[in-house]
Amino acid sequence: MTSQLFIHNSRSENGNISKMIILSLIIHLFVISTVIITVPSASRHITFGQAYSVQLVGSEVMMPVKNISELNDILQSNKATNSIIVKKEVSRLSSTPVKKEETDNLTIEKAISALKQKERSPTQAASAAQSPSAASAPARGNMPQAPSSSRLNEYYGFIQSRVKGNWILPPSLRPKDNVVTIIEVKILSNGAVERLNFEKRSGNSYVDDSAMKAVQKSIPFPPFPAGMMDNYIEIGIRFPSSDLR
Amino acid sequence: MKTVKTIAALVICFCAPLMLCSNAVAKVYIDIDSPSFQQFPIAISDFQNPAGNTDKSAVSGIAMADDIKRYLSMTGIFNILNKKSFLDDNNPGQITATENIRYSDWAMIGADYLLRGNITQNDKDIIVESRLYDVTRGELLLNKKYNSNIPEQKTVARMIASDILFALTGDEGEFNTRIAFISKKRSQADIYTINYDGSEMKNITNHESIVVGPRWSPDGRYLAFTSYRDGSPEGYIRNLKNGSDKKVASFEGLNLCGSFSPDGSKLLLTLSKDGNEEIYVLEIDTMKLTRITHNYSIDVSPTWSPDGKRIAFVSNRSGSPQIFIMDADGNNTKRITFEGNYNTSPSWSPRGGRIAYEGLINSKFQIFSIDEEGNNLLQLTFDNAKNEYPSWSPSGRQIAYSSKINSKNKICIMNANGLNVRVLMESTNSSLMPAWSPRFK
Repeated sequence: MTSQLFIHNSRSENGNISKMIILSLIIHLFVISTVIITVPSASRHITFGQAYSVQLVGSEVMMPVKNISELNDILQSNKATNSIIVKKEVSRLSSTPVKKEETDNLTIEKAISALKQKERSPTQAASAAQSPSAASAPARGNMPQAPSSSRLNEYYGFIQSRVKGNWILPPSLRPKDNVVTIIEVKILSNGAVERLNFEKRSGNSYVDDSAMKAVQKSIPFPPFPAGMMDNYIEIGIRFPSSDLR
Repeated sequence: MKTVKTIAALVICFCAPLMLCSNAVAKVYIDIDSPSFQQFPIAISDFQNPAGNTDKSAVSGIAMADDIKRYLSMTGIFNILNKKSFLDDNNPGQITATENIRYSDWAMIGADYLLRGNITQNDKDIIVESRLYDVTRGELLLNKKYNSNIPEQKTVARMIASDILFALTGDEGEFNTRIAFISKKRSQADIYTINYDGSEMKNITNHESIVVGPRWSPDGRYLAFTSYRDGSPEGYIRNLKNGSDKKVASFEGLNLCGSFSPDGSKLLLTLSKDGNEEIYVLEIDTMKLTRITHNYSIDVSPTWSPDGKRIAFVSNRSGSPQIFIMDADGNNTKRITFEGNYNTSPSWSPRGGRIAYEGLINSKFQIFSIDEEGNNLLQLTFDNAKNEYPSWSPSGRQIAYSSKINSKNKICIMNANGLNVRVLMESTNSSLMPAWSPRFK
């Protein structure tokens, strides 16, 4: 029967064949574009984690101060304070907050230079910077070479190191099973945050609170670097909490 | 030609949406792998006197704040900010009903939480009002008034610390617990108890002999222990209310007490009456004895899991003393320690999941913790002292242990990750075998 059809078709002229070709082309294009539009593309996960993670002991270890003895005293470890109050004229207080910002800037600058170095050299540089995030390659996700998206990834690096630096969670509050909290945030080009809410709660309110606090303390974010084309970015920040102890 | 044009038009029509597609942003996720800090930074202002600041009230306000700081730092999860770093604490007057706190001032010095309060002192009693603020959110978390007799000032500080801990972690902490331990002077060893904050050391037994291995019952009313008072090691249970001792194990040979079951009805025993050391379960009310290990090796130091379904113990059946886990009826024995050749004194965390023990490493005893499957081994102590007999706190957040170096004998408390070591008590007498009580109401 098919052979009869075939003979039938071949007997008609080229016009019929070209019609079939056009029809086939239309159907192919339709199917392909439908598939491409409707299949959701995989979300890009950018992980700046490295193979090992360093547990920081506390702020007193983080900020060594050599010169100013007053600051040294203030930043000493948390021994029980005596009830003897030493009254001294202190003109240093303005420097305390500045010190904190300097540390932040230092971290960000190191992150920037580490990222720049990484872009220049094809081999991965070992990370000696304070923010391990910037230097190690992301676990997943494409990094196209276009300048706009490399600026974008730099910015993601800022966000990652800043939020991480503000995340406080005592190990005993971490739940035993692996849960994850996701905070979604919409950041405008001037660094302001238009929307901030939970995309996913872990179910453990202490972990969720600590995650939201970490993001709240990181606001406002720095404005988008020059070269970033976007008007805003919407990102999800994931806080996994597996119990290590 | 027409067909070519139509084909071209159709192709463009279908390709256009593809080009639009590539601009559609797939959501980017950033992973924060772990927290940077493990302690909540908290600023505690000296408590004020609402009736105006006299010298005396200033001193008691400072003392109250200092007591609270001391208690909070014992928990190991607070970083108490030095008050010299506070920006001009410019509310020198009393705290009023509607206080205006400049949260940005506190956020700038790195505080996540702020505690302020009032203290009023009469002849008979003190009234303390305390407020806990969340600096990041800019809101009041806790506002409570406490009323107490003057000599009980420290109790109020303890209650405030407990409430703060509960508000921030859902757990009221260990302020109402005591640690029992053995103090050995010359040839006599007896049980003593001491409060979590190091106060009120009390003598419990006076057997004029050797007493070892105290174990608390889950309701805190009884202590089980082994005593050589009548010549050989026998197991006793002491009623802490009336001070009476009941002999529960006086078989031939060794009678050592293990831990109570979580429901308090059973006691684990190590007895050597049937040839060598084996583990038995004693039902306290009926005195019925059930043997659960049947092995030619030495099986000692049994301790129950918090759900009562399994028992951890020490056995040398594989050649050297190692930690094993078995079901509560004695089946399914599994070895969980494989590092080192001398691992004993297991203690099961009340949160479940981890077991602390002492292990010999580099000719020294140190405290380790390992999970129930035998994975994730962690060494917790590293100094040159002899660190032994770990005992978990009821919240599972801290571990008490004995530490001996030169002639200094200490009972220490550390966080479950080995940090924040605090000396609970120090003595020239041998201080051993701490056992952490349950929470007292």
